[in-house]
This record gives sequence, structure tokens and C-alpha cells, in this order.
Amino acid sequence: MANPSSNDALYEAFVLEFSRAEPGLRAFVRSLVPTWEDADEVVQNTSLVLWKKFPEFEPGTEFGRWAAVIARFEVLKYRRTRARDRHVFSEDLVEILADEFDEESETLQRERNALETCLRKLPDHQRRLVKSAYAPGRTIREVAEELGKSATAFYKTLNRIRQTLLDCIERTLKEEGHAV
Amino acid sequence: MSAPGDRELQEWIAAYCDGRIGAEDFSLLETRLREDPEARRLYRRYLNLDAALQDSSEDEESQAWQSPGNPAHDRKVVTGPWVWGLGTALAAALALSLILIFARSGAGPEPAETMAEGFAILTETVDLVWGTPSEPGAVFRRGDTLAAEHLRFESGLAQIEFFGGATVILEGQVDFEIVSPTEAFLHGGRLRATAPPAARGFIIRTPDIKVVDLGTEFAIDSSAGRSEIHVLDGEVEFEGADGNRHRAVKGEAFAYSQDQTAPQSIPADAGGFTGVADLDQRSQHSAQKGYERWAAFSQKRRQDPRLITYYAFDEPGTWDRVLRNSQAPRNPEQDGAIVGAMRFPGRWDYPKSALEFKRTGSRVRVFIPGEFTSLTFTCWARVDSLDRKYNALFLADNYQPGEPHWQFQEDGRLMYSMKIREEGKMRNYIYYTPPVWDISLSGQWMHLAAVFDASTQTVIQYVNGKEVSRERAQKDAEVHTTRIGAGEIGNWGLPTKDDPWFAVRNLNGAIDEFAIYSAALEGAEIREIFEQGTPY
Repeated sequence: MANPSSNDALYEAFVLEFSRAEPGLRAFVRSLVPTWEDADEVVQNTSLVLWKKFPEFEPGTEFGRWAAVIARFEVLKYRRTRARDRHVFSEDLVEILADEFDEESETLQRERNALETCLRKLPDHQRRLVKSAYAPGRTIREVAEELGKSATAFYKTLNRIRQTLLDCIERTLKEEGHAV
Repeated sequence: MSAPGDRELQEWIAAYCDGRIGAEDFSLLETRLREDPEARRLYRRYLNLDAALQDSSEDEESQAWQSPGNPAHDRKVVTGPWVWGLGTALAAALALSLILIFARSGAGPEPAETMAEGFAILTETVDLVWGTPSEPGAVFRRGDTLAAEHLRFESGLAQIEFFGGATVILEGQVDFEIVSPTEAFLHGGRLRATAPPAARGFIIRTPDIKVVDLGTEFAIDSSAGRSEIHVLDGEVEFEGADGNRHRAVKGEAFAYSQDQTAPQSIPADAGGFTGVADLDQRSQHSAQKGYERWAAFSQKRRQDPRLITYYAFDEPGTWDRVLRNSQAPRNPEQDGAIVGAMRFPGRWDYPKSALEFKRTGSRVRVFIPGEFTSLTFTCWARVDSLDRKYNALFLADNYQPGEPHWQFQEDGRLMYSMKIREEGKMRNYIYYTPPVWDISLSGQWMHLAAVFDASTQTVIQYVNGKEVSRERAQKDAEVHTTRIGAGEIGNWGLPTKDDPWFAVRNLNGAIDEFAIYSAALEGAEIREIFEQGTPY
């Protein structure tokens, strides 16, 4: 393929592919590293590698799969630099988790798609709470403090809402005729 | 669907997901995941949900931020013309990574840290009379932060604490200039300076000498081409215009003038300069006078038939959870219930108290029946910071048509608003002042008033007795009947049994004295309330 520097169309094609694959890629990476900070860093590294290697990508094959292969490699590379100081899963477990995520990627995507419907079914105050917990640029501790709750109590509530959402997502997929 | 141990597993997964899992639980979770495919499935679904929630909040964010050029908004489209202009792989990759960084961090660059300007604080004043306005020099109040200011006053006392650690008491008439946190210039007048060891090296210059403190207490009298230095404790070094340095110790005093080549020894005069203890006594005396003046005025005010309710905040004791309605004759029906707010000394020491609303849930609940036309709100407020988007002074609970809301917006503007009904729909109609508060006013008492004059459909707002805004309602926003009903000082809204969440609007600060009138008070009346009640 042509040199990317002289080919704006290539960049445009890349951006299109990447933005389509990104939600799945982020979910995949998130399930393999301890925090969102880690996940963001790995996804960013992955995006740069993907762009560099994009001339090797065969159009017509699945970009998401290809991206996942590279992301898995980036996760392993990243976890070696962090393994000592934090709660990082061992390499063999990361491999198992990555394989299984890959196998289930379609179901997981359907689950992500069902979220909006389930969010709408939540009572107002629960929806507000979960939104504020995920508001960009704010820590849960800050949010809890603003609501006058202890962080522990807030986490407990948040976990309960997540369980409700998971149940709802499971039901939704069943109703759509997908085995979960 | 929950097998034994599932609950525990869910708790571990949740804790791991939120980055708060302990070392022991982490290793239990890891073992369980390695051994149990069902546990991995649970884990996968949970983390997948976490990712979906994160994405969903960002999508919303990018819709909310429609401002052009905000990268978060452009994330899904990604390409702007600026990317094409760069043209190299490196630039494109760089642009991409920037886009990703911005998208992740949400709204862009972090807000700037709060900054304030200053070298010193005016910590005490007694009977201070500032210089005539024709002379350049600013006027300040107790508690103000002072930068490189030139202070001139005719009489009275002022205590200034420098950030460097030295304290200076000035006696009027004085002409004094702050240079830095560790240096000042006495153009003329008398001062007494204390510099504990931590503040060693504090410098005061006069037209005749430069005095360097070596960990001590000293006084300077500078007038008519001559400066006297009296060492009250410790040791100082001083230097005349000739450049010769001298040292003086406790009990010594010297006079110096520009035409003198050597300092002249004079008798020391320790008692002639006001010290911290004298100042404290005089300031208490002055505060007592201020309190008595206010108390006399307040007694008259209580009988004003236009009052709807009046809280003078002068109950004895700090334990009382009732905020007494001070109207005469007494009307206990409109006593307020204090919730969470704490009593502290108000503008003057007890029995004049104030209520601090620093806790999220703190408030004073009141119930004020009836229908009115014009309204006037007045209060003394001390704002420590505007932490919330809206910071309550007084808010009616339900916010039905004709019910008022009076609060600070986070940018320092006061907002008085009323709900109006327009073509069957409810609408919020807000009257703003320009910004009247910033961090430099933190901890200062200020008098606030909002007047709704129903006859002219105008809202006039005042700060410290001065009008700061005046706005007439648009034709469709006229209000002819006002009501209050249930409401709160210092916060907003009772949560319900089914919905325990409430908007956080508590004022980070305190309120001292609060009144509502069923009439539009005149500017002169507002000014008098301010003048008779100012602690400065």
C-alpha cells in the first residue's frame, strides 16, 4: 500500500475503521487491566501501533479482530511494566480472559447495546447517580462527597444499580431471542 | 441465580472494578477466576457493563458540549481540516492521540487553580478614619488581603499581619506602603512591629533609615525629616542614608535624620506605642459599641409593620435549635427550625450569633403563610467560597408561580428569581447582578438585599447598601401575587421518602440576620440597615 504520509484517503479509512472498533476495543482492554487509566493508556498505545501498521491491514477482513490481536499484545507489554506495584492479574489469567472475551465478543457487544434501554428503565434518582459516577473528569470520592455520602455507601449503591442493569440486560437479550 | 459465594464474588469484582480492592481479596478473586469459568463470565459481563457505562456518559458529554473546536464533540467524526493540513503520518498519529486524550479527559484542559493576590492581611481595625479621597490610597476592611497597597489614614489603629510572619500595628495619622510579604515603607507616622524568629529579616524603611529586624519587637516614629527607632525587645540593625550600619538592643532608642551623619541616642519610650494587648482591648471596646448600636437599631426594626419575618440571630446560648422570629409582637409560628447548621459568633461575639451552613444537609426550615405583592429580602452573609453551581441564601421549597429564589451563582453573581406561568407553562425568570463576590472577599461579612417592587415590576439588588442592579420584568414575566410558604435559609429542598437525593446548594459560609418585608424598601432604608449593622 501507499505511503500513508501521501495518502489522506488512507487516514480517513483508518479513522472510520478505528472509530467503529473503538467501543469493543476499549471494553476488551478494560477487562484485562485494573483501572480506566491503564485502559486508556493501552488503547492509546494500541491506536498508534494500529495506525503505523495500517498499511498491512487487509481490507475486507475484520478490523476489530485485528485490533484485538494488537491490543492483547499491548496489554501484556503494559502489564509487565506495572505488574509489581498494583493489582494486576497474572499473565496466564490475562490470556484466558482475553481468549474468552474474544469468543464472546458478539454477545458482549449486544449487551453493551442493550444498556441504553436498561438505563431508561432505571428510576430517575438511580440513573442520576450512575451518570454522576461516570461523569468524565470526576472521581467517585468527589461525587460521593458532593452527595453527602460516604464513599463506601456510594460504592454499595452503585454496585446494586449495576446488578440491576446486568439483570435487565440479560432479560433484554433473552427477549430478543439471544441466549446469554 | 445466585449460588453460594456469588455475593462475595460480586463484591470482589465490584471492588476490583472501582479500584478499591484489598490485597487479600484480590488474590482470592484471581484464584477464583483462574479456576471457575462461571466466575469469569460474571467478571466479563460486569467489566463489559463498566465499559458501556463509561462510553454512554462520554456520548452524552459530547452531545452536551456543542461548542465548536471541542475535541470531545468531534470524537466520532474525528477529522477536522487541521488534520488534513498536516499531511504526515507522524502528525496524523499525533493528532489521533491528542483526540483520544481529549476524548478521555472529558471536557478539555483542567480548570485553573484558584489564585489570590496579596502580601498581608488587615487583621484588626479600631476607629479607623481613612485619608481624604483626594489622596491616592485605597480603603480596606478588616479581613481584607492586602497586596502592594499604599494605606493612608487620619486616625485610629490598624493591625497588619504580613505573610512573612511579622505583625505591624499602625497608629493614625499614618502613611504606610506594603512592598512585599517581608518589607514595608513608612512614609510618615508611628508603628510598632513584632517579628518572631520565623519572621527574622523583616524590613521597614522610612525616608531616613532602613531597619532590619533580627527577631524582636520595635517601634518607629517617623515625621518631619526625622525617624526614631525604639527597640522594645531583642535586637535590630538599622542603616542611615550614609550607608553606615548600627545595631541596637532592648531598651535603646536612636533618632536619625537625613542630614545627620550619626544616630543620636534618645530615651526609649516603650509605653508610647500601642501594643497587641492594648489593641485587643480597644478593639473589644469598639466591637461592643458596634454591637450596641446594632442592637438599638434592631429593636426599632422589629416593630416595622411591613416585616413578614425577621431573624435577628441574638438568642442566648449555642445549643438552641430554634431560630427565633424576632418580630414584635412576637410571632412564634414563624420560628425557624435549625437543621445541621452550626452556631458561631456572628458579626460581633456572642450573644450575636451566626449560622454556618457548611454541612451538605444543613439548613433552616421556615414556614411563611400568606400572599403578598412586593417583597424585600435582606441579610448579612459571610461567603467562604462558592463551591456549588447554586449557593442558597433563601429558597422556597416548591418554587411555584410567584415563589422566590435568592442565591449566589458559582461565578459570584447574585440571582433573584421567581417562577412565572406563561401560556400555561412554568418558566424560571432570573434577575442577575454583575459578579459581586470573588475569593478575595472570602470570610468577609457583606450585607445583601433584593427588592421586588410589584408596582413597577422591577427587581433591585443591593450589596453593602449600594445598588448593584436594577431590572424591569419583561411584559410576559410580570408577577402580581407572591408567596413563600415552606422554604429554607441556606439550602434547598426536602428529599422525599422515595427519592432521598437532593440538589446540593448549601452555602459554604454563614448567615447572620435575615428579614423579609411585604413591601419594596427604598434605597435609603437598605443603606441604613447596612450602616447600622456593619461590623467594619
